Amino acid sequence: MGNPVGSTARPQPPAPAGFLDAASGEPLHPAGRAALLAALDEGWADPARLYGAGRRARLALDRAREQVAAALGCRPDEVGFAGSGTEAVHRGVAGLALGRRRVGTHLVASAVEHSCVLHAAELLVAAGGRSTLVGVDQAGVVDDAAFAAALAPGTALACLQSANHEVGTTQPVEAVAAACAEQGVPLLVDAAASVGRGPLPGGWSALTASAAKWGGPAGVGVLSVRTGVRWRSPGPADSRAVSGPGALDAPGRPDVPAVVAAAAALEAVVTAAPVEDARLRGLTDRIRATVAATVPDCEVLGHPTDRLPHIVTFSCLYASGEALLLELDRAGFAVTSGSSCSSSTLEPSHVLVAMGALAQGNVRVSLPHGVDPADVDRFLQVLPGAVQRVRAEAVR
Amino acid sequence: VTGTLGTPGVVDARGLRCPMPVIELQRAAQRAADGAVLTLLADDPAAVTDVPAWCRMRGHILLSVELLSVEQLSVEQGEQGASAYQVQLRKSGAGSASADGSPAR
Repeated sequence: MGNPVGSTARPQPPAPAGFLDAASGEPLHPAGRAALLAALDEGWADPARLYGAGRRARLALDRAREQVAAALGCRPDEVGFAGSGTEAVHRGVAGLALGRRRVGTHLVASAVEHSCVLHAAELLVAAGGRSTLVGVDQAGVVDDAAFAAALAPGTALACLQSANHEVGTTQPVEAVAAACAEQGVPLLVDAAASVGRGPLPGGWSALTASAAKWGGPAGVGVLSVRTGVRWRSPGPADSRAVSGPGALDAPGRPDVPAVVAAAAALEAVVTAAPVEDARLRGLTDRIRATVAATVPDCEVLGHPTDRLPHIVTFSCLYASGEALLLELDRAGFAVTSGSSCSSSTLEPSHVLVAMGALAQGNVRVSLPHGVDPADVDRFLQVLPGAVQRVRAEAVR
Repeated sequence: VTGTLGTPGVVDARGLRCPMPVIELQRAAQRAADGAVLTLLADDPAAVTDVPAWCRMRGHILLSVELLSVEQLSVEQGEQGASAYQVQLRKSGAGSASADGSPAR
């Protein structure tokens, strides 16, 4: 199969105009698209089969695993693929808990983890375990001393995100990892918000990610587990690899073309990251300053400097988050919200609640790789009027 | 709870959803004097975070948050519980919200 990653030098075309919801998933990166098309032809067969087409699929899968390992800073046989970032987290948490079941059934996690981490923790608790959720400050930063203090002799595993997916705040992963290492507790780092967005923290025992967040296909998640960390595949045994490369993969035949596309997209964004992240950080700095200056009664959330380059979140008093999303959609902008009225329940986002942040009129802006700065300018021009209209509508 | 329903200083926002309880609170605050104490009754889960945030952003003081019993509310069994948020207004530090179209009317 050809080398689709030759396209990394290609200028990145922008996502659709007005698409400012990269943290929910970006459109497929052109390098990923080229790799996908090539792999549909060359990598369609079952990689477990020994005939030519099977061997070609196997080679493509092996190469993808090497690319992902290089991006994460680990070995290829420490990388597994799953059907989504959520499945990767579920397998990571359940597998670490299984591997440590003789030690205990206690889990420590931050209160601002992605809901898939909290749901995996709830399942452990339902099975007789217990969990401790560690709080955050007003900027969303986890208290690393409190996290360390929560580790106990019966702690099976700990979970801490690399950075928060809703407000962009980066977490003190290395300090927490050191505390975990001291007590022999494996640390799962959910890096879905960070992979492809600059350097990753070290010290993790397991790491999870989601290809859609870096411009890969939606159906690819990554679970990486370090050699020597006790992890057991949850669920029924699979006849595919039980050791070596593939041992961490979710059961069943992997979607080789999708995995190949995910790896190519990741290699491309990681190559571009040093320049692109600085550009996006400049844009999000501008959004933070402009929103605070032009929208009255508005709170810009998250840590001002210790944060991801592409995410900005703010909340507006007297505004409905859902109405604001629809108003911005009418103006051609795709953003999302952690306000209660835009969720399926009446509860606001658990992240905003844990931060003690205003949850009404909440908007998360996340810039896709290659975003046009003119899109950001236009958003900043439209926003104050949109907020004003939504506030006026609420009191009519 | 200070005061009962219909008492001046009590804003009954039960049954209203985000962002209406905070809007009603802001409307009452604009009519009240500096230093006055308002009590907001709300059963919207979002008020738990949004009322303290409103106080912080507008410079008011959150005196207490109390979960009300069914007897205090004289509501039918099974109805959702409400909370009483007691707020002391401090208007010196907070600008008027009317200029931007927020609920001054």
